[in-house]
Amino acid sequence: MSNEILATKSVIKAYQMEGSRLEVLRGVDMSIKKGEAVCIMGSSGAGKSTLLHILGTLDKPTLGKVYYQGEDLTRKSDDQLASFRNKKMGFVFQFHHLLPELTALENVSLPARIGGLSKAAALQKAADLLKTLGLQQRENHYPSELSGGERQRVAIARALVQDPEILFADEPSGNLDQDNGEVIQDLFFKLQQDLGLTLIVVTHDPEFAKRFPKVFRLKNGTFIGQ
Amino acid sequence: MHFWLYRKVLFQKKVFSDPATFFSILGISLGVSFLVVSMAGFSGFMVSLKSSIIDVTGDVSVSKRGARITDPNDVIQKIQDSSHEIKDVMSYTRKEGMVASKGKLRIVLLQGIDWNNVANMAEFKKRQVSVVDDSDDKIGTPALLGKVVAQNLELGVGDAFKMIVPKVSKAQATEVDSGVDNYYVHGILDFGKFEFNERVVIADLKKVQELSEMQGQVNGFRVRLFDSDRAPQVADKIQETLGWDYSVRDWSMTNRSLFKAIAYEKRVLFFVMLIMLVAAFFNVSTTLFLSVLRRYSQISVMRALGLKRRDIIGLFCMHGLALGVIGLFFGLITGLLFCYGFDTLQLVYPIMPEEVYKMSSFATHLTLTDIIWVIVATLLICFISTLAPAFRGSRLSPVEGLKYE
Repeated sequence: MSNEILATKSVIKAYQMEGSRLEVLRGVDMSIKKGEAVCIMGSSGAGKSTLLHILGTLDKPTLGKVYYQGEDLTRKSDDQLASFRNKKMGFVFQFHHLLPELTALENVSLPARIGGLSKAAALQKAADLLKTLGLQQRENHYPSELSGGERQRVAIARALVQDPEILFADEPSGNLDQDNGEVIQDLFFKLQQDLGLTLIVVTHDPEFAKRFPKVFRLKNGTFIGQ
Repeated sequence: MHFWLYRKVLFQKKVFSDPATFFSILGISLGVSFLVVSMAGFSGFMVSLKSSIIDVTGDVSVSKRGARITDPNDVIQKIQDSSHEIKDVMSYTRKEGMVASKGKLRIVLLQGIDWNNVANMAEFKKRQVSVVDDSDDKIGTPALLGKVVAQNLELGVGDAFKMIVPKVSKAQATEVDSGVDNYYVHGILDFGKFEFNERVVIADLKKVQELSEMQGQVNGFRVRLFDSDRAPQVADKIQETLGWDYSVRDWSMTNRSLFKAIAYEKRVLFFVMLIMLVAAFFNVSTTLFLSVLRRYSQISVMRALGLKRRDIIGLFCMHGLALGVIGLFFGLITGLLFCYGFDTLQLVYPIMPEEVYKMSSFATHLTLTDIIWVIVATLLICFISTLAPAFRGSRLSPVEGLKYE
């Protein structure tokens, strides 16, 4: 039996721009196995973030299919996909996107509470994760009181709090200085190995991409090789 | 419903520091306060009118069709036996007459009632505008005058006047004699209704009977009830007991069309004010639309983390309702303060032309039903006004909001 966790089939994403049609993805086929660390690489405008959003069910393809363990995700409703994302997927974005009104602990507990976990259990789980990531002293700090690297680590903890099967990261070190960027990159690989996660990272940084066993190179909306 | 998320993220503790939110709440508060004042005004007008009618005519008025009543005590007993809701029954006589004083004449309606019970029947203390003269050195019959009668004849408390009533001549049936008696002003009353104030003079039943040569006969009875709102039902019982020789009218039958017109106007004004409130709620919609735009990235993140569309709708509806509830709270308080101000102002500056409205003043009166209507209408409009921005927020693509910091 195949251990494929996520796959796309002939995915096309097109936008109508001032009367003309702009195709960002032009028939993308890919297959990702469970526990793999995969990098999607390409220059700016190649369509890599769009592909990540489609894989992460944040966006829908104009044409084509996205499968999770053989199940067609494009047939699900928005609310079904929201529940699916909450339980199976974690996201880390280039900008931390932490909610400024919540403390680090509350931000990390947010997906668990959205998923229906009690406040106490969600906060306990969030506290454990922050401790694992060395942020136990920062639990009650607001995002504005954290450094860039700390914010990104809090965002990683938030992505992990629901024990996802797939962790998506869109340029996770793109907004950090080199030292902090490397710390975050190391953390991703460590977590992927320790937790057995499927890691899908989008980057245009060739050094970061080199560290992945599997790299999809995207140019003008199509893969040009692995 | 993720109330905790709403409380943490959307509802800021410094809710008034955002100008859009502040003006939304201000708009709702003003709209609600105007609604409260208009409802309280109309209710107050109706209550004052009802009270002035009841104080002069009683909750239920009983008279005999086409004849005077010769056996008042028997009829009083029958009336009292007809219902346990009756507080008091009082005989009265009513006679057109004239007051003469200082060379002036005025046609009045002389009412004779049991003088020992007059304070109870006419809400004496509430309505007196001049200090009552209790001295014993006056000659004549004490009388209570409507304040306009007193003004027109330039009579003050203690002043003497002549009461003249027409009567059929005993010698010649086609001729009319007049009975004259000496009266003095015992007190001046504000009956609350212009047509009473300019016509009514109240004196002791026996004295009026003597002057009119009615020999123990009365024109009818005034019935006071424990609960004025039960008057139509009690009137039916009295009518049943006394039979159709008697005319039994409750207070609501007097000026029925006026009461209906006021109730109709109240409903119309309620809807007019509601339209004003709808305008105020456009501010709420605008504030929520602004909030949706400002929080685009946060909405996107929450959607990415698993928040459903209906949860987003719930969050913004909660925000709109919270603004509505705060506005409602301040609106109710401001409305009550306006009512208090209106009542106080009326004591100093009479703002109602008595000749037009037949009442010189009225106190605002806010009923629980009015308050419930205001609350329900406000929250309903508030909820409707939140729907468009809430749906807009729920339909935002999570992707766009994640692109930028």
